[in-house]
Amino acid sequence: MSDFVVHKGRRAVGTFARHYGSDVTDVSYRHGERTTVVLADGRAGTGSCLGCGSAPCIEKDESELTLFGTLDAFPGDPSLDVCPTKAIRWAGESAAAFVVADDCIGCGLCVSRCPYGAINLGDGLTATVETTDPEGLIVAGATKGEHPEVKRSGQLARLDVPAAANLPETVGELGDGRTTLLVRNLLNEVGLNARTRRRGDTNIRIDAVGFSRNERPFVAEIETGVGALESPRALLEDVAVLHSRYGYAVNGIDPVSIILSFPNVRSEYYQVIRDIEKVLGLRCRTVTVGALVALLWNCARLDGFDGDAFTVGEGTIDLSGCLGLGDGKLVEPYPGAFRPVK
Amino acid sequence: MLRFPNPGSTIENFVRIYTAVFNRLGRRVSTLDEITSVVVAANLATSSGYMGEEAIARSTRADRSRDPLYNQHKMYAELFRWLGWLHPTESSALNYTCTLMGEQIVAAGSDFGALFDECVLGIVCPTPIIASKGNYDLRPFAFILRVMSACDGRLSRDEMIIGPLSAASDRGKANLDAVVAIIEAARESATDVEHAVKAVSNARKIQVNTLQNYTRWPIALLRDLGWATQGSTKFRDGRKYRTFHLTDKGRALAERIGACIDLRVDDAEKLTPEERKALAVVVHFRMLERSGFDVEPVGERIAEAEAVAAPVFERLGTDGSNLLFSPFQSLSLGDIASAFPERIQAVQVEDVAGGYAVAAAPDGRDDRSHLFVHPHMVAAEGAGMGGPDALRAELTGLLDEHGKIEAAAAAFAENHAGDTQTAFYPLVTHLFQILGFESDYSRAGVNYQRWDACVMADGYALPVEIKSPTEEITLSTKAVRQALENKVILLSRGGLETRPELASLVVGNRLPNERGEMSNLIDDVFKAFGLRLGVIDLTTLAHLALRALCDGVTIDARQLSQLRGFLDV
Repeated sequence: MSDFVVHKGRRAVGTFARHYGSDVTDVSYRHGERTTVVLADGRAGTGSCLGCGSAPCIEKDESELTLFGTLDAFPGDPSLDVCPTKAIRWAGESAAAFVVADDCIGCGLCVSRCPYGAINLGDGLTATVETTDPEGLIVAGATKGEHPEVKRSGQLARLDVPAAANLPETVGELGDGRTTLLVRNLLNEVGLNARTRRRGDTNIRIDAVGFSRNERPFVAEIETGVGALESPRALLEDVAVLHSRYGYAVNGIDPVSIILSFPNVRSEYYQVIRDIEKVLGLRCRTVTVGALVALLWNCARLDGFDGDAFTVGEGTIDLSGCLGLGDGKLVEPYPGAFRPVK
Repeated sequence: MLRFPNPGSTIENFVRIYTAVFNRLGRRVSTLDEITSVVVAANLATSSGYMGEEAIARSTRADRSRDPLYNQHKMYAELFRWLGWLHPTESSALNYTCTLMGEQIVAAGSDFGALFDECVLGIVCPTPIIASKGNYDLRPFAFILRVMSACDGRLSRDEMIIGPLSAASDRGKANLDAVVAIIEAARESATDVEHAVKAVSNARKIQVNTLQNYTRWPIALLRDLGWATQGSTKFRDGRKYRTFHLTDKGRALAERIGACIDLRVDDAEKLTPEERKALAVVVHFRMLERSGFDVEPVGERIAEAEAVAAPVFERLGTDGSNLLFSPFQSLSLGDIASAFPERIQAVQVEDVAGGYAVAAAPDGRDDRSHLFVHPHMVAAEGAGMGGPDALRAELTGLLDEHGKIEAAAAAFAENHAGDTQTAFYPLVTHLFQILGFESDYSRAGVNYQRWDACVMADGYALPVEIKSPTEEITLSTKAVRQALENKVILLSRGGLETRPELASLVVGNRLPNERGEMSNLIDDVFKAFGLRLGVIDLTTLAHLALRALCDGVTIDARQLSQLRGFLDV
């Protein structure tokens, strides 16, 4: 008899505790409402947790963290967690995911990854996993299969939802490791092939590397505190390292500061970015956590950092034009998310 | 003090590293080099900023004690042994096998937390699994929780040093009370705790910094396992200090420990071999059951073992559910093999493909000789004439006293080791003035000038980033990064005439002993942007100033303005 025993929380990839009896084709989000699905057989209604073994709402597949080419050697954070606070967990007995409400920061990552429309963000920005199958879409019984490619549309949450104003404070309390995980996962979910540095590896100073959708490499500094002011300086080192050790041309690399809120408009931050562009020809870009969340909530993709996208050098600084979320001036989820606070 | 090495990792990475080792080496007998090799291959370790084979090549030294990767994995192996995941073999303490407990940690996947908690509580000293220095009778992490609980739910790093990690024994209430009394006394003021730490340092003949390093892993565990969070509290004299506070989980664990019967290695040795074997089986599976594993398939085996262990439980006054005892961390290899015979490791097999080639690179570091620049001294009018009279007098006085320039320069640096920015910034510019260069420091509050000082060489400005000894005892790469920014800002904003190919300087108290990271940065920046970064320590600058005073010579202005790397006298 073997002495080895199995963990009750173990999930078998490719298995489902329940199923819809038909593939999901569309997942649709509406602020404050339960997520709905459209099935290939024409049925539609509120989605429910199917108890899928791979649980993409909880855990990434290792292949998702693979980077193109030589950059794959970058020592990335191996964490497969989707939720930076591990608020979404697995209940072995009911074979379903559930969210610990007190731990949920309302980022929407788990919501955006469920292919079965089973999770929604409530008005208070707390994720909830639907398990009741209110419209009777579920067919009882286990099955096997792969996740379908689904078309996602709608809005996980409105940018002006009052709870979004708490994001800076919530993210500020996360600590470096979990903030970095949040940023990596947001970058991934808005379409970028990205990896963040493994914590504890002091030999590598670059916070994140990856490729935009046109396969152009980027380096990023993640600074959600006062360190934002020093991030352009750190980006110079990052570019130098990527050029020297990985062989990418200096002018082929996009340096990106990922910050929580824009510094005051009179901050030296903008001037240093202009200095770097003037002297070295490098255009440092700035993306906020709020901008990434806005993209995620609107099922939008971030193509990359071409042209003037996310530059903050000359003229008025406003990220809303780079997000592709409509022509008007977007409301910010929190002050400083798209524009410097005056 | 009980010593835990610090490989520098989060527990998540820690488990990942063990998983990589287990997945690639399994139950075979492996050497430390093989463990290192598979961790690097899994891209979970780097050396000098390089990955994969390049990392191994750069780390490997003929002198293994100076091989960073080897040493790091030695630390991992030690901690894996404390946790019962890795065992030495009967024949060699430097050959290892993964244990059944380790296999269960891997099997828990991302739900490893509860079993990790159990293993941390299972750490015990002495143990047949690992030899530790000193004569201790401790279950250290359980004791830390007990002490925290008895000390208002909090403990600081230094209190950990003077308290639970330095106690000879944690058995019984008297030992707990003694440690609590030590900590309570030290909570009077920062001076009291400092004296108490110093006393441990003197008694153990270990530097205070080293003692503090030994707490890094325990503190990381408290934090990452969710047993404690960081906060602050006040000494009785009102001054604040940083402490770790028990969380609800930490408090619950402390309560559980309080209700447990703590069975130690010597207690287990008093049992018959059959009783020990049965106890090991029952306790092991109970640990797994508490950690979320399904033990139903081994229910019969547990029941049989419980029947054999029943008299033991009766003697101990327990049903076995509240025993604090972890077989893989407390029993001899023979006893473990007897209790879990299926898990006896295979004999040593052939080397892992692509193993660690030790002899290939006696010192795998890059040749950095191009970054160590010997100054070319030239006769110059005005050399030794500039700068304040008082500073020239201080230097000549030191030369008179010490006789040699080297000794005088070292004494000068020592005299200024306590200088703050206010004294140090002018000092640096005055030394350059003695060398015959025009030099000035920036006034505080002039934000558009990021550099702290500038030196004029052949009519062009070299920006200088200065770090006073009170800011940085040894220069950091951050200072070098700031020098890069200084150059960019000077080139962009103007104000002083300069050229891109001229150096941006860093001057500080001392160079770091390990200059690899700084050297890489200087090389990387030159390769990427063609910008030169030069680093000068105070002793070197004083040495040059003394040469100027004695011989009327100075460093060649062209060499200074082209400096890339470290000025090396």
